[in-house]
Amino acid sequence: MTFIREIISFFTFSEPNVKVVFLGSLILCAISGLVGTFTFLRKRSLIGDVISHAVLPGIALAFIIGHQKNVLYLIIGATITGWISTYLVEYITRHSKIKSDTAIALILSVFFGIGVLLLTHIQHTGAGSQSGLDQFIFGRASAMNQSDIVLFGSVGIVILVLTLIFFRGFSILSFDEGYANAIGFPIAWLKLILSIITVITVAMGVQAVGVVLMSALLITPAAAARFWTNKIHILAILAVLFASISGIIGSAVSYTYNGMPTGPWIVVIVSLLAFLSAIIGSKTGILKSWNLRRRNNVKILKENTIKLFYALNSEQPDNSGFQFSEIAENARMENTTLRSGLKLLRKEGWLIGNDRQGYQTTEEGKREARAIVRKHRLWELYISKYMHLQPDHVHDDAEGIEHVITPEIERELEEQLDFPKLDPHNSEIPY
Amino acid sequence: MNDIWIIITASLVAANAAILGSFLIMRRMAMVGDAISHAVLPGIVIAYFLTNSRASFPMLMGAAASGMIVTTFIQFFNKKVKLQNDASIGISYTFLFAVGIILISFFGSNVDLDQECVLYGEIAYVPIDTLFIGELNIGPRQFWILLTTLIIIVSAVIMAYRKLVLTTFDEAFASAIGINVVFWQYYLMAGVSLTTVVSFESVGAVLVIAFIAGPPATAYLLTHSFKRMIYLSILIGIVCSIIGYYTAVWLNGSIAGAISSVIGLVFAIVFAVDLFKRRQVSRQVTQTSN
Amino acid sequence: MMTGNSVETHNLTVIYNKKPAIWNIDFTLPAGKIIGVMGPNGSGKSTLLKAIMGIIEPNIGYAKIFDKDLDDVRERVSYVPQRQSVDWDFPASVWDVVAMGRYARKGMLKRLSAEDKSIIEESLEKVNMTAFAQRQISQLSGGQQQRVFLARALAQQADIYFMDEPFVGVDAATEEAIINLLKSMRDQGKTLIVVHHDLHTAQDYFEWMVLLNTRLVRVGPVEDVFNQETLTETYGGTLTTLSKVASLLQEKSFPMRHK
Repeated sequence: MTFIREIISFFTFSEPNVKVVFLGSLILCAISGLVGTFTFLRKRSLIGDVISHAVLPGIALAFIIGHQKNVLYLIIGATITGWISTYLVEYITRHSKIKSDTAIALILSVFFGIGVLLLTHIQHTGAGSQSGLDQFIFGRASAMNQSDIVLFGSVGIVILVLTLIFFRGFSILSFDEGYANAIGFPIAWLKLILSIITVITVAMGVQAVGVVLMSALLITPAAAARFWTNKIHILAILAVLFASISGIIGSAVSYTYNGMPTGPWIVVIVSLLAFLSAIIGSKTGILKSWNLRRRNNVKILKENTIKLFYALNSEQPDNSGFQFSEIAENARMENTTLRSGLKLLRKEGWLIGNDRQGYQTTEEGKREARAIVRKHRLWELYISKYMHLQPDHVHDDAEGIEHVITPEIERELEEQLDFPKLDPHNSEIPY
Repeated sequence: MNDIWIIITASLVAANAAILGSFLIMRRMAMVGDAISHAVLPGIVIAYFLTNSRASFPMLMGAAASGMIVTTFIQFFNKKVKLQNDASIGISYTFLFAVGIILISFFGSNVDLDQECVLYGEIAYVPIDTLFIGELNIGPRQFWILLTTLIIIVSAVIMAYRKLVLTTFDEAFASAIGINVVFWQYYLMAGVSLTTVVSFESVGAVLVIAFIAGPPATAYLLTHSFKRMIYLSILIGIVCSIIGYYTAVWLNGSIAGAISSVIGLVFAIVFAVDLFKRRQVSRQVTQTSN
Repeated sequence: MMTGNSVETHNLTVIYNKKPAIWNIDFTLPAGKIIGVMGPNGSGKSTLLKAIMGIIEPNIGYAKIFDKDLDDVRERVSYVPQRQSVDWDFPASVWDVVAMGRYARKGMLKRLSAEDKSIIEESLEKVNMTAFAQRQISQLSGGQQQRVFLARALAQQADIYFMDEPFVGVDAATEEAIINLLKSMRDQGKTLIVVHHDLHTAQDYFEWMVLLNTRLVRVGPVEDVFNQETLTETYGGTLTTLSKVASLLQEKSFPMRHK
């Protein structure tokens, strides 16, 4: 019960410090989500990983030089070593045969190692035993105080303004660097500004999530947002939203459960948001592709069933109703499948009748039957003409493709083939 | 005697990592090692909690389970929902690592594992935890585990050496002559997982990557023969372990942290010399051509 | 002299990233000939080779080599990939790379026998690289790298060789040396299937030709298929309708064939 009471106390801001923690996590996560949009789109998640590990020695050095935990110094120190790390990765790959993944792994782990060495040195020498520096490894939002928030807030606003000013530039840079260069965007400057913003964001963000999991706070919100939209500004807004939600929940948990670091919770929650988005997201989510597949199967079944009637009708044009057994005779599908196909067509209004009276096509059904046969035969003709395939090789291909031909493609085929009368098997193409 | 045990333990980790790291960096898969070393955490923690011991076998099982889960996640994101590759890997391993840390915090008092240990190990305590045969103290437990691992890795690599080299150098040719490229990839990954799991206690998740990437990258700059690159990176790893240990003693800091700092320093020196030599050569070339 | 069929493909279709790489390729090639595979950039030449050798899985269709399934004739198949497909900074010597040609026939642990070694030396000699045996591969010129790849294929002592652009980026001397080598291999009854893009030399180099532009345009003896009309058809642009259909197939995850 205490746990719930604590949660309630968190969200009602009954203690003044809660407001600080809440605001702090919100600002840091929101900014990370925003800047991370570009890290994600530029496929730089590994670079994000390097920077976030490499801020640790900067933090430790700032402490050694400043003799106390001053957040401004720490951010400056973190920014410097974070910046150096990205520079080194680029320098090593450009000036030796070492490939970028090796350079990244090396710089990441060595910088982190130096950071750990300095940190343990500080802790063991007494002066820093109470420094609370270890909170930077996994983050502890509850350690923030009022003046930190002022600092985060002001830097956050600067980053926000810069991102808004350069939003178009960053977007083009992320989608197509070559193009941006060709149309005369100042690529070098844009890249510089973006990387400075990124490093500063990481340097601040580690206060909430810690260095080890910071890269997730850059990448995962944008990845989750990607499942919902193709538009970059909506992507950025959603990323900020997802990151903020996780930041709030993560810091609430860390606040209420003593000794629990913030970072892992934020990351777990934002990852769950990403999983959820992957499943129900509207653009490329699993649900959509299931839906698509189901619709495809329905379309294929409908078209294959109505196609049967084209043959039946042309053999016996004035038949008042085909028996199920007659239809099934030429159908290359299971009887149960055929039955559900017939049911679909009846619902669609392409067919009337039932098993006792026999089935008959309506006018609309006849039109649809002609349409699918037309597409089939046009495609057969197209591939036999342009791919020099023998007439006996084109049928299988057309069996599949006929269902995907849109009216637009159909018109193209007709024009390219000059409105043909006969298919490669000399059957008539019905219009 | 404790110094010696610590140095030997670090050297064993270095040797394991150097052998596998040489293949990984030539395959441009160094960061896959990073992902694996983070992703195995929840499995290790759960195994640790259930058995309440540091027995290696349950931990390995736990790690294998986590490894399978992370592969499934990566596949899900990358193949099923078509997310870009780098982000698929990034999301999956940070998620599992975060779950691992949360589990540690939950089990907190019941389990003798802490968050920092996961990252930079507890190599200083290695000599305390010893094995006995009857009354006889036969040395640290970690030493025996790492030695066994080294024997396994060395024999596995010797047995498959040619196939591993061929699939590393030219995947298309290998697959054209009927070598199962995917199998050998998993074979190598199994070795990497084994190494990261057994190295966890002594050097932790991030620093095992320093051993995997650092010495092989340094050796790569020094030689043109792949076999020599492996030997050399083992040697570099051991030298760095020795210097690193004494640096840690001197600075009164983390041993694993100091070793990876030294690995970085050694790389920087070799890199600078290599760059300088190549600049010399190219200057001579331009002078003679003038 | 080899007779009969070397390669046979049925409806071979590969789609990459919403674009058809090759579509419904159906042909039979003779054995014991030098056969050129030609077509514009992006016409699926490399893909065709890889699909035949099983390096990539086709979406539809299959290929047979010497009338058998690929797995039954692996030992008789060799491949010379595009030179740029590997990292030449890999720490290895020329000898090391050529020795890889013997790996397929060796067990896991067996050392290279004296016979293997003499085959490797012979192969190096055939491409005039004996003097470079101990050279680091990173120090080779483009032409030398190509010769190393050829030597590796030779060391395999296969019956059919698939070569992807062996003449790209090599000097005139190397090009001449390579074509002479190919001709002498052909005279020993080997089948050589060579991706090539230089129209000027095509008629001199090849006896048979596959003209490819995503779909198969023509296949047959050079004198029958190599003329202005077929070249216009091959190089005259892609079939846009086909591309649209393939991209729709992937976008809507439509099955190409259904039961």
